[in-house]
Amino acid sequence: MIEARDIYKSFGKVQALNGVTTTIQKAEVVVIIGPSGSGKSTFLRCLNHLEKIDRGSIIIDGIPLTDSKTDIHKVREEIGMVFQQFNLFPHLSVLRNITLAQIKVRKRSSEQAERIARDLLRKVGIPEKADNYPFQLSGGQQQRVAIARALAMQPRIMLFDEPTSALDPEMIGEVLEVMKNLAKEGMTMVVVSHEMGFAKEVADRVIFMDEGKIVEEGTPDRLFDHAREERTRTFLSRVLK
Amino acid sequence: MAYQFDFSIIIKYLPLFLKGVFLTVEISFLAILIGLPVGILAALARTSGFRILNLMGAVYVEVFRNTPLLIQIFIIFFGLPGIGIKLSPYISGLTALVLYVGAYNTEVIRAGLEAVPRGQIEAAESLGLTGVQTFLHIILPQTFRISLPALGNNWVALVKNSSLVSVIGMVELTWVTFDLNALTFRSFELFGAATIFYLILIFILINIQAFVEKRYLYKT
Amino acid sequence: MFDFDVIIKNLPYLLSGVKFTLALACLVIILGTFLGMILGLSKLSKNILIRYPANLIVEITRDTPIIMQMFFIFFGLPALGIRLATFPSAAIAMSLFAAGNTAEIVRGAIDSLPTGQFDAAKSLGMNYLQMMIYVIIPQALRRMIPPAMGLFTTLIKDTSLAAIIGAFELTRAGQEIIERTFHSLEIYLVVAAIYFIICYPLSYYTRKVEKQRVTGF
Repeated sequence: MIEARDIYKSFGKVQALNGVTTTIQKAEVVVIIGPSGSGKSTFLRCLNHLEKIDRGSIIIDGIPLTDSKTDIHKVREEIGMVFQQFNLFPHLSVLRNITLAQIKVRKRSSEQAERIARDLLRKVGIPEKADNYPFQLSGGQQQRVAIARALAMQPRIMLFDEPTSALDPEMIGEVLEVMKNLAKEGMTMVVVSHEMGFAKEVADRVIFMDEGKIVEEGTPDRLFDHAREERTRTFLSRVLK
Repeated sequence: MAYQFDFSIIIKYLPLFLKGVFLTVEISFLAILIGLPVGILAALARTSGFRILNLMGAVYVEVFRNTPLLIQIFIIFFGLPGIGIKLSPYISGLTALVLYVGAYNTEVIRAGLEAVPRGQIEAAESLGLTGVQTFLHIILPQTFRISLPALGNNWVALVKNSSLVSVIGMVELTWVTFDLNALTFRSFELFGAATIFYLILIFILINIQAFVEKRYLYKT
Repeated sequence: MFDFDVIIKNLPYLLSGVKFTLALACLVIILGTFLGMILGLSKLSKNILIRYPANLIVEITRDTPIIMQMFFIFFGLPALGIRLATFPSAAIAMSLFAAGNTAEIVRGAIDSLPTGQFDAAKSLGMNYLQMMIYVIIPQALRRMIPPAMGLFTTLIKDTSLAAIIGAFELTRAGQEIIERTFHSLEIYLVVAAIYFIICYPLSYYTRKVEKQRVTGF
């Protein structure tokens, strides 16, 4: 579904991605782990073209991302993204946050958009917060709204960029719960995260990145317990304490 | 009859223009220099516990920020002689600029003073520093660092405002331009050139400000 | 020594000048804000043909004294055959100054928004126009209000400069009275007081709005 081949990306003098190649299948749940600066977030942001790649190709469902003829906005409708800082629109109510793109981008009617929005709010567990504003919600609630906002577009792929890293510990669980359910329902997910428990439980494949390259990848069981590479083992030993 | 442009007069009178630029820089610099202690004093008055001082500081700031600089210049140069105080154009202009920039500095410095963390004062006290020592060595430098960007903006504005002292006959760039205009009537070339001189001057100042900010301000 | 009589007798004339002061200020604020918003958004354009000229205009109007711009328009433009009266000259010069500063306020407000807002809007498939209209500009407007109000206060004060090229407003009215009566101190103090009465409420209100911004966004 997602084919990334030989991705190179630099920010000035810093080479963030050094030749990344991987394929993500439909309904696959892939978790990317690695030290900070390894390029995992950069890679994720390349997948929906928030970052432009210098070299290589990304093909999503047969559509090449870097082709000038590609309408990037149409592609982004099919890819949902959840950010570490939630990025909810503070001047809009929770409901409006979720319906805005539906109406303006997917061109749905406001009744339909609202119905979908309320359904999703129920699904993520906070239907009563529809008319509140983001600043009135806790971090965990805001992130769940962010997930609902992305899901409202009914994307085929969901990208998560360290979704729980900015949350207080008590709220991580509620967000991971939503993500786990999403995985069980068969959503194609690419998740950058430090939550190893989540990876063990739900991931089909774990990718370990370091210094802009994929060092190793495999099923969670194999990677966590029998890592082949030295660097992988070092990282895991530090993180899995 | 079409206007005959003559840009050569700018070259001809370049020394005079440059003298005007120099005087503009000189008076702005003096005003900034003297305006700083004025701002610090007024800021201290406003943050002191005494209501009288606070009020006096507030009145100073509000009066000079809510009235036009031109009127302030007129009052000092044309009005004060009415009660017996006759000041030269230079002193009048300088005084007006000092009081004007001082008022704007006050608010900026006050914000800077209040932004210095309480913990700094407590740490200094626990080390045995006196109030004055704490202020001079701990608080003031940090206030300065915090306020520097906003102070820089005030100073750039001051250079622009210095053009107003020309109306009372104080010699600086605008006055020189006016004088040359009365002489040659080449308004387009002269005022155009003066505009460009100011532009270059301000542009240099803004870049100096950005440079200083980058190098000497730690990132908060 | 202080002659109150002169003040009372000439107050009506001064107030007639105030009308022009306020008219000039309002005109300049409206024109300048409108032009400034266009300039501000142009500064952010990816198209060089739009961005560079916009940057140039903003720099010239912001980095030169207003009085110079007034002189150039009033005294200098006739060389090109454009002869404007005092009031229009002052209005145009001040509008350009207002526009340049408004553009900077707009740019500053949009820059101060977290990049995450742009990211989120883009990731939802919004194009540039949709992103600006529904997500960015509504948030930026809120942040533009305090500096814009500061600019308005400055503009009201700067209308006094129009007197230098002879336009009739409060300051010029004061000057005319002084030419007749020679009571500089009293008249200028009253003129200052009138400006103060107009500007102080604005400053006060600006400060309140600034403090309010702590809540929300």
